[in-house]
Amino acid sequence: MGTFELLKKEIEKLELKPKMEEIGEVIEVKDGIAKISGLSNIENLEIIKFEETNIEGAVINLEEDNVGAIIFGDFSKIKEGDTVKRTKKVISCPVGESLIGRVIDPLGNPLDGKGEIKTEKFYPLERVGPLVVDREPVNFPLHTGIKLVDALVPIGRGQRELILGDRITGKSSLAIDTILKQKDEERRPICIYVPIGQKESKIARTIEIFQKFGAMDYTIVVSAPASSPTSFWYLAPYSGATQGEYFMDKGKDALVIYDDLTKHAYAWRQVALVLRRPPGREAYPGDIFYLHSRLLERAAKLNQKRGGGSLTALPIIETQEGDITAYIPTNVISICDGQIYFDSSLYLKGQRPEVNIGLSVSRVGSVAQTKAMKKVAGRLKLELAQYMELEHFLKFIEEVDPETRKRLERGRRMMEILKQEKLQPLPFERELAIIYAGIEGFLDEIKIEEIKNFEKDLLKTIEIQKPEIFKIIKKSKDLDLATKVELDKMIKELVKRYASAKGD
Amino acid sequence: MNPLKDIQKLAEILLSLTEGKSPKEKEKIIKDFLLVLREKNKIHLLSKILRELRKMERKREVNLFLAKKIDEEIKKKLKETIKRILGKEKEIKIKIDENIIGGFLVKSENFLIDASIKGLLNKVYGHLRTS
Repeated sequence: MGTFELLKKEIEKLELKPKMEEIGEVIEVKDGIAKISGLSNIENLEIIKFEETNIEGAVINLEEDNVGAIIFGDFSKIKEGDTVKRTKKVISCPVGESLIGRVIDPLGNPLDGKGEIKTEKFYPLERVGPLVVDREPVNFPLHTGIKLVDALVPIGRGQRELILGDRITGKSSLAIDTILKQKDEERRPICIYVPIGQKESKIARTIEIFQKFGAMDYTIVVSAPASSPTSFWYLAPYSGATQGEYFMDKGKDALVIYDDLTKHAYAWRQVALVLRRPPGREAYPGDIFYLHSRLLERAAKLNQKRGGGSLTALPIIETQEGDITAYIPTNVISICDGQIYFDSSLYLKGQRPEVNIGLSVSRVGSVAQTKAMKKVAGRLKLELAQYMELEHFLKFIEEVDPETRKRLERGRRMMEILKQEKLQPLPFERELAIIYAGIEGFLDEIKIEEIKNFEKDLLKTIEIQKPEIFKIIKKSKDLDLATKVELDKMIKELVKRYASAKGD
Repeated sequence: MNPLKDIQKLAEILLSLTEGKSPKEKEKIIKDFLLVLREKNKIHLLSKILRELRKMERKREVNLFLAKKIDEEIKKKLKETIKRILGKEKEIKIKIDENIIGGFLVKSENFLIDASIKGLLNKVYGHLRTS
């Protein structure tokens, strides 16, 4: 009886009066795409529903007598003649604080089995980036925890910095390290990681890393794995940007990582070809530039009037055989405010991370650095440039004068200092301490093989004996004279210890 | 001139000429139409005109699905109501489909009015499954 009553109650709640609905009919189904006749009043980017199978889709092609739609699901179930209904909603996804720590698909459905996501707000996936009047120049650093990046190619909040390189060169690792590093930031940005077309096993491993380091407390993963429909690959970056924009609009900082946009371009190429749009260079459709530019324009630093929030974008692009002049890499390079180029030949030379310093730039430059880092990194750049030039020449010359030799030795030590293993992002003040030690020439007497140990010892000794040094640098973000003297003392003591150990 | 507009116009003319005529008269009109086309060296447009005609027909067509045969009286009333809602120029075709169990279903190219028992049951099922 109870069940019957319950059912009756539920059914009474229903609006069962017949209504006039706007419909269409499937006339063609291709890979992930359906062509539909009818639906003459439909808007672009509107969600549609396939009546018989309950699968949804979105209209992306309006033509004279039919519309083209991408299908969010198993397109093999959709048949010719199926009825399609309008929903009068544009593609949107839920946003809000309750999504933090969750793994979702591009439409906001949970993928982590932690139950329903409760939010009231929905944002459309396609939004126009903030206007010029709402923006201000990038002025606050976003630390990656990688010495080389923070010192030489600094990233600011609201910047778009491209990470590119061949496969398996540690591009994703840099992105993951950056997310892990945000854990100890004072003004911690909400991180959004968007894996596109990656293996599910790899995504699972990444999420496990986030959990292990406690990074899921401030991270959203918008996942479009290799097995998901192409439409999801296409939508995932926009969905990630939407998640970030919610926090930016609230005056907070957000960081979104698109891993990677090459797959995104592949997905759009596939959709466009199936839709019979004219193929252009490398068979990409004509709007492939706009595809990425409208996405990356959404990254911004808002001015104080708009709340002062920011959305930083770190897109990743995979190159083939180190060719950064291919179509998609050049497109995205020109859109972004700089790039970090991973060179696989440097990996073989033992450099970690294998970033090519000469080809990597940040157009925002030192405004995205703290005062302390500016003081140290300015000279580092110069020293390294000279070192690299000298090393080039050294291939032809055997004997060098003592002055040049000194430069070379210092350069080699600096390169050694900049080496860093994966999953070990350093707090900013520690990066600073070791780079300072190198640039001031304190390490000239230490053997190159000893540098890594020296770094560890130095950081440990300061931590134990004079933790104030770190605290002051972290707080003031500057390296004042008093702290400098203290730091000098610590470094000199340790150098002395190393020298005497060598003497034994 | 826009060639597409031309074709549309020709199709419209043909349709308006044949409207309400007996089959014999229709045949004559169509023959004349073909002759004119040939004279004007426009015979190659024929297939396009045909496609346009089919499209126009689809636009006018309204299918009324019923589970079983019903009284002429009710049928007439239904037709009148449908014409009032969807427009006078529609051509209503009645089809019998037992799958809808009961009630009726009006389907045109762009619109659907589902007042069938099948649709009702589907709605209830969908609601109960999600709630």
